[in-house]
Amino acid sequence: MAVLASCGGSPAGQAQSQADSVTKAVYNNDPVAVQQNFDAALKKQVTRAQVGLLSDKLHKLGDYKGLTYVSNDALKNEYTYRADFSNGSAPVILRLDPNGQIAAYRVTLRETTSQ
Amino acid sequence: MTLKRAIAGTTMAAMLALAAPAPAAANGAASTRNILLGAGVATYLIIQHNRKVHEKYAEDARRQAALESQNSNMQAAYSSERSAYQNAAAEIVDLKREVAYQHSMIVQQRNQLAMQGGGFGTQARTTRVAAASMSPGPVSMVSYGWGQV
Repeated sequence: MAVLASCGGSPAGQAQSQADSVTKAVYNNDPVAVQQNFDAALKKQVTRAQVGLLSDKLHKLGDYKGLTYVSNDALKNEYTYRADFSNGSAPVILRLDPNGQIAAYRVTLRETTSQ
Repeated sequence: MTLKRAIAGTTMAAMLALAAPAPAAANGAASTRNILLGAGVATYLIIQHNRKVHEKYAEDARRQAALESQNSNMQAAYSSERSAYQNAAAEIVDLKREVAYQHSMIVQQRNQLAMQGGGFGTQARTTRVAAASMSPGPVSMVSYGWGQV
């Protein structure tokens, strides 16, 4: 399944390619590239400040190495990957709309708050 | 009061002058008496003059004191005004600082609301780390991104 999912021709492979391009764009702090595969509703939500903030947080994990398929929810057309960095990893969740455009892209990060 | 004193002094001097006998033609006692009376008149005039001078000096001194007091009050009033102005200026600086701080807080909260309103950064869950952990506080799992999953 993982092999099939990583294949570029399958929906999961297409999703991974899109998730990877978005993650790279975020990491490189490129808002235009981030929105490239977003649907119309999602494009309106993106701001430069948000991309910059997330880029800074990803850079704290080190160099971006790529995505690894974890799972998918066919009903929601949602895919989960592990973004690997030189100093850690973070789960990336991608949801596609019926047209194959990105309807949601989220990265979950651990954050320690000092008391 | 001064007029009365002047009249009294002049009267006294006249009385003493009138009391002075004519130039002594005869004995030494009369001569001595005349000398004493003349000395008394001179002494009185000198004393009166000195008193007037001192009175004038005292009046000047009082006037000077009044002027000094007035000047002193003006200086005190100026000092008070200056102090009040400096306090007001310091209060304005404090108010500016307070407004700047409140503005920064508003901007910060507005940014947080903007991010959370778009669903960019939402706290997924917070877990308390174990006491043995090296982490200094609770660990939050924060989901960044766009759209809902």
